[in-house]
Amino acid sequence: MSTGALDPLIHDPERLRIVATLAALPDGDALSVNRLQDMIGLTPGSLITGLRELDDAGYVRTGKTGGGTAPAAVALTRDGRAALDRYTTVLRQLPPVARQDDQPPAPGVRAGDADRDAAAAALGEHFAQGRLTLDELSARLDVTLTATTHGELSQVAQDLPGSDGVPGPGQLSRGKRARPWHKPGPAPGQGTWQHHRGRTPGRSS
Amino acid sequence: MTTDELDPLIHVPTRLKIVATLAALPDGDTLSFTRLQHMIGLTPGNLIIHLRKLEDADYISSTKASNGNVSITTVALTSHGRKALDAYTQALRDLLSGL
Repeated sequence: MSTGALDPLIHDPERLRIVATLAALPDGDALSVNRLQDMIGLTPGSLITGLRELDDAGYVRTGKTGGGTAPAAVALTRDGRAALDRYTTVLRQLPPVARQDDQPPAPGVRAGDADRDAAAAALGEHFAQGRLTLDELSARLDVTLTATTHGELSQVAQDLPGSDGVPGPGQLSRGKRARPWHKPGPAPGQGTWQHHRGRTPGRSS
Repeated sequence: MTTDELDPLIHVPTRLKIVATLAALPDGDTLSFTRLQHMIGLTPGNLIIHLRKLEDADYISSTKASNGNVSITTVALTSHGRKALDAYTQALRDLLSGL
């Protein structure tokens, strides 16, 4: 997912400190470079370098006085503020910061009997509505009933409408169709059990 | 405030994504290497390097289990790693406070 790109210009710790400090100023205010330096405690050299890089990108505006080469005052531009906003938005979208509550369980989370039953019932409903053939249904039921994680359950239903727990596009769907690390299935006896579970739709409607 | 606490080990975007993804798992849960790779969209080699760095710092733990002829590597955040991430997000929040 490339939406998750953190602007490298801002992500650098020193520049992040500069931008964050400037962003705290009221709009249109500028800060003297000396003062900025006191506030964030960078060496003059790295401060100047950081400011120059931000200036080149149009994120800050530096004003020079006299003929000196060093900037005297600095302020965030509108571009800079927008870039910082985008940056913080990306940060918020990282899993632990924002999500958790209204999210379907993470794909690695183990599924329980109730989850498997619900998924199987949903498949039955799809069969009843003609979205799946009997063969497809029975193949998917096999997968569903032996699934050990929510990721496996949602993959079974990923091409069906309205299935909850379908991960966002690109998250999982690009993974292999067959469960990547599925193993804990019925290994020993090779119990390819209930290949003819096909008649379950009766339980749905 | 002194904000040197932006843990460089976590700050690198790729590792931040790894740690954040692992942190979203319920405590004690692990994620398979393959799954993590698909979720983050890295090449295996790249992912291994980052995981090793995190493991060296004891931020994550990895377990290799062999199940018949297939071996599966799973990774999880350690409590040390979770603490480091908490400290990191706190430092970031302090830095961006008011935004």
